[in-house]
Formats: sequence, structure tokens, C-alpha cells
Amino acid sequence: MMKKNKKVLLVGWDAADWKIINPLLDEGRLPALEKLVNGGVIGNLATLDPPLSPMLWTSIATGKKADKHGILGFIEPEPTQGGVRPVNSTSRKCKAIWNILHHHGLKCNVVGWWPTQPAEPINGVMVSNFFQKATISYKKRWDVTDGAVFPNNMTYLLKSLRIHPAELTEAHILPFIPHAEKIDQDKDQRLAVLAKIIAEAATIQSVSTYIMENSSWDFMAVYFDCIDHFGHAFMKYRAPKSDLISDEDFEIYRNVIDGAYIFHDMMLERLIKLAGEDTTVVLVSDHGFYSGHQLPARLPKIPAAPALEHRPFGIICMNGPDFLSDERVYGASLLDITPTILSLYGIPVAHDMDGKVLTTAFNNQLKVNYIDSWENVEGDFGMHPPHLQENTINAAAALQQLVELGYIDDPGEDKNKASEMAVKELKYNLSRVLSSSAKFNEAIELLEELKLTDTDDYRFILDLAKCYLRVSDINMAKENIRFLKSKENINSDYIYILEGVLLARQNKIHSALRVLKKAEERLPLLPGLLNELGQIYLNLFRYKDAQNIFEKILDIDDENASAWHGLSIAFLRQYDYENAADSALNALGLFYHFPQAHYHLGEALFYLKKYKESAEAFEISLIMNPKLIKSAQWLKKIYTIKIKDSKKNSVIDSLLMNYMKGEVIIVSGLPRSGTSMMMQILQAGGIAVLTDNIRMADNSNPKGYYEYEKVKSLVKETAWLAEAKDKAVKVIAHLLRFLPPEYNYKVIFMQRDIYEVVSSQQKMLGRSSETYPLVIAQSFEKELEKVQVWQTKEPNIDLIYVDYSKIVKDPYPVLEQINSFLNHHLDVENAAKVIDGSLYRIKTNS
Amino acid sequence: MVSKINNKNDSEIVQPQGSLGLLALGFRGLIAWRKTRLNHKNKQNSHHDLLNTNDEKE
Repeated sequence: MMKKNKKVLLVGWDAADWKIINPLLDEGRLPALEKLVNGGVIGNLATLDPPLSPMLWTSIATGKKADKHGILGFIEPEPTQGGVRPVNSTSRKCKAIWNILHHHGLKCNVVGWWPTQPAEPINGVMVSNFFQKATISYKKRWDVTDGAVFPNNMTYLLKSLRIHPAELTEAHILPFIPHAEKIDQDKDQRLAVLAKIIAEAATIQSVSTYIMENSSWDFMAVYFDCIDHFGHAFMKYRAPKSDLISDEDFEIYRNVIDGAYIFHDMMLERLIKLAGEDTTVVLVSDHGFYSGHQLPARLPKIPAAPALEHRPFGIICMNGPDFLSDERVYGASLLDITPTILSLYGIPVAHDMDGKVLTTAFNNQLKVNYIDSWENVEGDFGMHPPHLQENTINAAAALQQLVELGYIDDPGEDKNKASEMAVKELKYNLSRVLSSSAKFNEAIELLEELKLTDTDDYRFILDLAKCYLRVSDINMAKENIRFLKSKENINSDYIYILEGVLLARQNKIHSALRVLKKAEERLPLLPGLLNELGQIYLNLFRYKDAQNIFEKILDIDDENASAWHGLSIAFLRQYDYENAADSALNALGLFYHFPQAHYHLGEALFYLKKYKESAEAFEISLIMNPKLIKSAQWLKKIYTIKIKDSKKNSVIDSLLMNYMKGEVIIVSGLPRSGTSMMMQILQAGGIAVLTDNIRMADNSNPKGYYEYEKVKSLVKETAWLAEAKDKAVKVIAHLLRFLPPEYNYKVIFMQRDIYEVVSSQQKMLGRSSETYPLVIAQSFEKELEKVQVWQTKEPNIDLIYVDYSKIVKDPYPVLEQINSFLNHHLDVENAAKVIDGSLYRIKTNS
Repeated sequence: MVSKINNKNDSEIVQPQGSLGLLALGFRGLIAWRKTRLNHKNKQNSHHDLLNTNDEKE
């Protein structure tokens, strides 16, 4: 049911960042925002890749990623005259929130939003992002770009509310630069840059306040790009002072960024006041902005390089009658804004939107209605007529074809080049969108096409190598890394990192570690590199080292979701479940759509005996990634043993039915720990065993080894396990972790004193019993620790430890335990007959 | 010359050189500033004209 009496004010502050805001809030310098924060819900807003404003603000306004909404960069080919132009609203290929609200008869005003030129014919006023740009010197005729205002008849009035940078006085400048008099403006253009940014913000504010006061409205969206522009121009001068900045520049420009936020707070106060008390206010930014030591010292010479200064988390603050007060929302993404606002109005959210409704921010249970898609709904949506909507990449290709066919004149070499460059960038951005959505094969297709057109642009090759690694096409990854190495202008450190990852993917873990350590010497604070190192330590079972690495990343950036996730795993494997759960929650608080982090949260909660919450976490991970079959295995375990929910169990069974292949009994342990004896016991007790008798009985094992040759190739080949179904097979401890997940395993793990094990092995190998190989013993002990970890992390494992000396000395109690473990399929009497105490020859106390 | 904008409980001192506060108020602040600036300029001009006239008389 649509709620007509709702009013929403959506304010966009491009690049606003809590890291700058929080200290200013603490000092009481942002009173309007402070009020909003205290009475509302706040959180981080995860950005998307690539973090380019036109793409991001369109995602905010549509709830969709750029491959669906079609806005792919700052500029696009001019489809009729050749050359390029700033990206237009006609390139958007889906409906924005204002179109959907318009369809429901709601009055919408939109000011300055990226990209809304030409303004759309909505039920309200739209002022495009071209409106405020002062493109001409003061006192010359400063026209409004055609189509920048809808309805057109408001253009004249709104035109008079624009502010030209040259109108500004020292009263506007000094709050940002108190010592502006020291600047030689003939040499230093930074003051002019500052004035331009302030004037553009003031124009947006002036026009917005006019529209708010002079029209009735249901939805008002106002976008300011200034904090981003201030950031790119002046963040480097903000304290702490960088060594690259002169004392003089630091003194002059150090206050600009803080001033920018204070100015925005003043404007926000006015907007909130005009919106009225019952209006819901949603303040968002599309990404953050690196500051302090995280701000890149230099930017590479590549297109859109300034985006490297964008931090992956923007801000969200929602305040209104429907939202909780003084609370936090976790895991929000900028894709969630449109679904959440639609829900506020009671309008259905579309399944084809990539975002979700931020239900936890609401103060009452929210009923969210859904529709498959708004794109198929006919009717008036206040959009441009279809003939104006353009695919500019296709349009550029068509234009080129017409030129080649001689139908139109060539727009000129420069224009063609500019258009080609624009198409290249749009395609590259699309490849990044696809790759960030795990659509690696589609990304590869685009990147291969780009590589053909420009072999000098290392970005294409670098991304190709990464994508090939993600789809485990090692050869193609290798080929691209080799190609990168042949280039002269590429930072070799990044190639080292890629090589390290490549080696890790090939299971050459120690070589990978060596390469990455080498890269770390040169780039000690690079989070991406440290993250790879942390992953390798996890693979090597070096959990403390992994913990240290992930903590080091978090010292650099405490909002690195991958590092929190890595840390969670490191804690899990050290049996520190409280910290594991906390770390996983931190990861999810930053990036909610993170199935692996939900999975590990589930694991931590399971061991904290919070079974209901654990099941919820596994369910979410499974919904987000249906291929995460281990989540279903955990759920099976929880619903069978802990919660006993037959209904849910049958749902899980149906999920697992096509995947799970049966049960195998595994007899395991260190060599010489009694595994052969256990195989004999099982066989005698009526359990079928899988053995090929290739290894014959000898003095060390007079009753046979009970081995199966194919087990040795478990690392590479697992198909043979089908033969072991419902049978017992011997697998040494070192190979257990290579057991494939599509079977359930009952593991009988033999434990024997490590001295006895090693001494027995020494004897078997004909070595002297005088020397005890301590190093080997320590290595075996480590292996046993790994088995313990493996047992806790695999949901399809049921494991029982059997003490070798106990079963030899007093078989019956132990055999009864094994019988119970094997669901009473063991004939204990017959099993006991094969236990031969005389074979227990090497004893600790002997 | 200093005037005061006072509308819907908003008050801001308006000076000819303007202020960030006035820009933050939006169109009302902008209009008030431009008006004050114009008045100030006109006054300055008339004062200047008056001085010029007196000069001429002397």
C-alpha cells in the first residue's frame, strides 16, 4: 500500500567520509549533522568498483550496478557529431527512483544529480548537473545549457539564482583560507579553484531552497559535488603534514577540507529546516576520501587516476519518523538507497535491483513488497521519449560506419581519437563492473577486445591476469603476466604480487610466500599485498602469522573488510571463537554481501553454541552464494544434532541430494599409530574395507598394511572415493584435508604416543634406536594440530580419537565406543579377536 | 551598510561583502546579499557623485 503522506529529502555529499566528519562532530563543529546523527541511523556505505561518480550516483538512484544502468564513465562519444561529451541522462537504460515515484503520482524535485542532463520531464522540477557550471568569465553572457532545467519555463527564474565564482568576496574565501593574502594569484590558481567550487555549491543550494520553498513536493534530491572536488584539490594539505608538502602550502591550505564540511553543514541545516519536521532526511556519499598517510602520494598517469584517492566507504545517515534513533546500520551499500526509500513510500522494490532494503534501520517491522522489475511496467514514468535514449558506444560505432560509408563527413582526427578513447574507457569501466560482480568470463571477453586495440595500456593486461587467476586459467594468467613483464613502464612490484598470487593458486605456497615477501620489502604498507600474504599464512596453517598480518592491515585501515575476514579465520583456527565472531561481524558491518564472512561467522557461532544464530549465518551465506555447499552441510549438522528441526532438515536434504555422494569410513593417524590394526578390527567386525593388498605384510606389519594405492594420489585425484562408499579406507593424517566435500566421513583417528610412533618408524626404516629425531617428532605434532583444526572446520566430518595403547590393553570399552560411533554396525566380539597385544612392541615406558 | 534578513525565523546579518552563512541560507540569503551589495554600491556612487560635484563647485 503506497503511503502518500511521506516526504523524503535525499542529500548527496560526494566523497563525504566519516573519518573527516567524526573529529569535527566531536568538536561540535557540525551541529546540523550532529542532530541528524543523534536522532537517526548511521553507517558506512560501501561503494562499487570503479568508484567513479556518474556511475555511483546512478547506482544510488536506481539500486542497480552499472552493467544494468548503463552509465559507465564521465564522458561518452557524442552520438551525432562525433567527438565526446559529458555523460548524458539519455544513456541511462533503466528507471531512476524519481521515475518510479513519478509513476505513482508523487512530486519529485531533483537538483544537480549526476548525470541528469538533459533534465527529465518529471512531475516536479529537475535541474541538471550542467546547470551550475560557470563556463564563462564574469559579466559575459552566461547562458544556461539547453535542457538543463525542467520545466523549461523555470529556466529564466533559476538562472538568476546562480552564483559566479567572480562574485565571491574575501568573506567567502577567508573561512577556508585565513591567510589568502599570502597567495600570488598570478602564479597560484588554487584560490580560483576554491572559488569555483564554493560558487557551484552555493548555486545548488540557492536553486534547491527556492524549489523547496516554492513548490509542494514528496521527494527532493539534492546533490553537491564539492566535498569531492575540495578533496582532490586540497586533501593533501590537511594535517598531518606530508613530507611532500611545503610548510608554506601547508599553512595556507590546511583548513580548506574542514571548512568544506562546515560549509556543507550550514547548507544542510537550511535544507532540513525547509524540509520540515516530519520529513525523512537521508544523507549519503558515494565513496569516502583517503586522508592522512592513506592518501596516495602520487597518482599514476592513467585515465580517472584521481579515483584512486577514493576510499571504498561513503556515509549514510537516515533520520525520520520511520527510522531508529541513535543507532547504526551495518553492511549498507549505495545500491540499497533506492530500495530503502521505495519501501518508505510502500512502493514495491524490484527483484532486478541489486540492492536491498535496509530493514534493520526501521523502528517497526517493515513489510517490503516486491515486483519483478519496473522496467517492464508500461505507463508514464516521466522519462525521455525512447528515441532520445541512446547507447553511445553503439552510436559511436554507427557514426564511424556512416563516415566510412561516406554518408557523413569525418568529424576530424581529434574528434575520432577522443571518441575512440571514450569508448575504450567506457568498455574498461564495464569490465571492472563485471569483474567486481564475479562475472569474470564476461570481463575477460571485454578486456581481450581492449588488449587488441591497445597493447600499451597495462591496465587491460593487469586486469586480464587477475581475471584469469579468478577463473583458474593459470596458463592465460601466466601469459598475461609474462606480457606485463615485457613492458618497460610498469611498476614491477605489482607484477611480483601477481606472480605470488599465481604461485599460490598453483599450490606452490612456499614459492608464493617467497615472492610476496620480496614485494613486501618494497611495499611494506600495501594492504592488497599484505592480504595476499595473510591468505598464504592461512594456507600454511601459520595462524598466528596470519593474525599478525591482518592486524597490520587493520592498523593501516581499520575498515578493510577482507582483513577483518582474514583475521576472523585466523582466530577461528586458533579456537578463539569470540574474536573470530567479532572479526567476521566487523567484516560484514563493512560489506554485507560477503558470503564467506557469513560462513565463517556461522562457524564461530556454532562453536560458541549459538546454534540458531549460526544457522542464520549459514543460511545467509548460502542464499548469497548457492555454490557454498559447505554451508548446507553445516546446516544439516545443526538441524540434525543441535536444533532438530525436521522441516528445515528436509529442505537442506533436498539441497544436498544432488551433491552428496554418500558416506565413507576413514581410518587415519600418523604412520605406525595402529591404523592397520584398526582396519583389521573393522574387517573382523563386519565392516567392508577398501584395500588392494599391493603392499604386502612384512615384519613391521605381519598382518598386512590394509592400504589402497590410489589414496596416495588424493591431492590430485578423488574419483576413486566412489569405490570407498560405505566402506573403510585408510588415509594417513597428512592427506585428510584433501578429502573432497561431497562425501560425509566417519573418521577413526588413531592416537599413539609420539615417541612410540617415531621410534617405531625408525625401527621400520632400519635406523638406530639410539637417536631420537626431534625435528620429525615436532613436525608430526604439528600435523596432529592441523587435523584438529581440519576437524573443526569441516562440517561433513565426524571424528573419534582412539588411543592405541588403551585398545590394545583393554579392547572392549573402546570397541563399544567405536561401535556406537559406527551406528552399531560393528560386531564387537569378532573385532576383539584380532587385537594382538604382542604386536605392541615399542612402548614409552619400555 | 548592514541590514538583516529575517524570514521564517532565520536571521543573518547582511553585509555588502556577503558571507558563507548567507550562501548557506540559499536563495533568500543570495537575494538579500545582492540587494545590500547593490544598495551599498549605489550609495557609494552617489557619495562619490556628491564629492565630485562639490569638487566641481570649488
